[in-house]
Amino acid sequence: MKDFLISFLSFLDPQWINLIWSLLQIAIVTICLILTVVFLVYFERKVIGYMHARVGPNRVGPKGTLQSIADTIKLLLKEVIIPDKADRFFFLLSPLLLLIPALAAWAVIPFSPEFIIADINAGLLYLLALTSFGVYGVILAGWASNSKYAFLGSMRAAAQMVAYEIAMGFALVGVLMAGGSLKLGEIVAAQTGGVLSWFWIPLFPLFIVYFISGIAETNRHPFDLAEGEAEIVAGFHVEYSGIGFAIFFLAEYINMALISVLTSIMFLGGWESFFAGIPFLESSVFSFLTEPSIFWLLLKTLFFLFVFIWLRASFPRYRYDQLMSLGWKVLIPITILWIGVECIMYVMQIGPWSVT
Amino acid sequence: MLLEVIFYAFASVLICASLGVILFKNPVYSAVSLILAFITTGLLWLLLEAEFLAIVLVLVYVGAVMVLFLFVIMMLNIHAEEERSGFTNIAPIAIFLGLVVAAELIALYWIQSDQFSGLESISNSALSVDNTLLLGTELFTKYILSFEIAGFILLLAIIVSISLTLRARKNVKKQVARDQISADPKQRLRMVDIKRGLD
Repeated sequence: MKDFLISFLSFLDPQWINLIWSLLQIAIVTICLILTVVFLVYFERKVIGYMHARVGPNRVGPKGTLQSIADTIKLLLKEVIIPDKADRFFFLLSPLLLLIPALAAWAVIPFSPEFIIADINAGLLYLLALTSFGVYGVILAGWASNSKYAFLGSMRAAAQMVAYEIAMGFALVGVLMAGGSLKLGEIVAAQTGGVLSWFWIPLFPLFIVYFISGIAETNRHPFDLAEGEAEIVAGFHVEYSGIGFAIFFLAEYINMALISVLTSIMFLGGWESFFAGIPFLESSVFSFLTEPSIFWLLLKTLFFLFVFIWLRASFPRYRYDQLMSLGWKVLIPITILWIGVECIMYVMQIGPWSVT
Repeated sequence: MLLEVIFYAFASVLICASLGVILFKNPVYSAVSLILAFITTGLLWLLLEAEFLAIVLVLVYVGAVMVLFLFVIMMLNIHAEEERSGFTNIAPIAIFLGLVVAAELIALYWIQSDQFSGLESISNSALSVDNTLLLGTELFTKYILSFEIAGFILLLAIIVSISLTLRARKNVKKQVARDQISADPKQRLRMVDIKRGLD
């Protein structure tokens, strides 16, 4: 595709062609993400519906498939209300402060061996920096709304996101030790060779901790105290209507997809096939099943998205002190302990990364 | 050419953001300007191909420190006008400190122009070697002792600040998960036979 672009726009400077190519990639990823969110909203409502023995949306379009499009149109057409005493500038800015890092983080995601927008050296650190950035959208939204409920929600969110970021960071330290690189592409490449060489086996506690703190980072059930509707109405976005609320919603779902794709990349081998490394399959006609492709990554991501929804349908919300003690007293000690164990494994040359 | 345009754009944003920190009346706006200043500094460091330092600056200061700053500012609801009333009293000290910093920067510029001409080669070598790897190897081989000492000082600071704020309160109802899990229905529940029907 890039070759086509080069031949088609050959009258331009190669620098400009690179720029156009990057912009094209960004546009593709962004559009796909927004379509994913549209699908995800429908998927979530349908899955939770069936788990609750209900039908879920079934009115708009065949089997209710157009429900999320109808929701989007409704939200876009609603009046945007800015509260009288709100801080206008931050009130309008904070939804974007949540959305921009959520989208920007996708720049370093390796979708397949060929397709990655920017394969930067410090990819893992970049992700950590950007995911920690989203908390400002939440805090400033709560403060700018000038409402007690919104403010309480944003205070809860800030404390929670700062706490779980530490566990997340430590889990990433384990991954970068095992992968031997901060580049996400190389981390996936370090996991080649079948299900057994993926990092989820040697790093199993970190895998679990990472996913749990990912749920807490995105303020999803059972950690959605920032918007606990029983106590504080809807938390930090209680004053937002129309498109402002829609952007918060979009950012939350994009972050969910980001956590899912990162968990698949770092612990489940990314684009690697489930059937890779099985000699019987590799020599037969089914050898296409063992090829690495973006399809496997999407399949794993979809599974984790399903887990997000599954947890939401099954668990009650945590109490605030339980949430804090889980983060600080359980998850962080587990990660620190496992990094120690990993050091020992590394020195003793146990595990898949002993080749490096 | 393009690099210079980007540099001057970021530098002017940085100066405006730093001015915003001291000139905004609302402390929340000041804090957000400071965040912007940190991010722009990170971007300037990225231009120098120091990607590790740039991202760590954003990660630590923007991702953690400023969140807590903003948290405190919002909770305390500081009125900047009252705080600013004592501004003229400390102005001489502030001007003196500003001059000291300016003098240091000028001195650094002089020293750099004749002695530190080797700085150029460091940034060039970073092109071939991974910046993070380079820093890591240097820190854990050549400067291991000072690195460990810095780590210990930080650990000490954590312990001290926790012990300063820790107040053991009595009569606090706490949930002990272990007791709840190990609760035995036999100790809490007594089954009683009740005669049924009419005798």
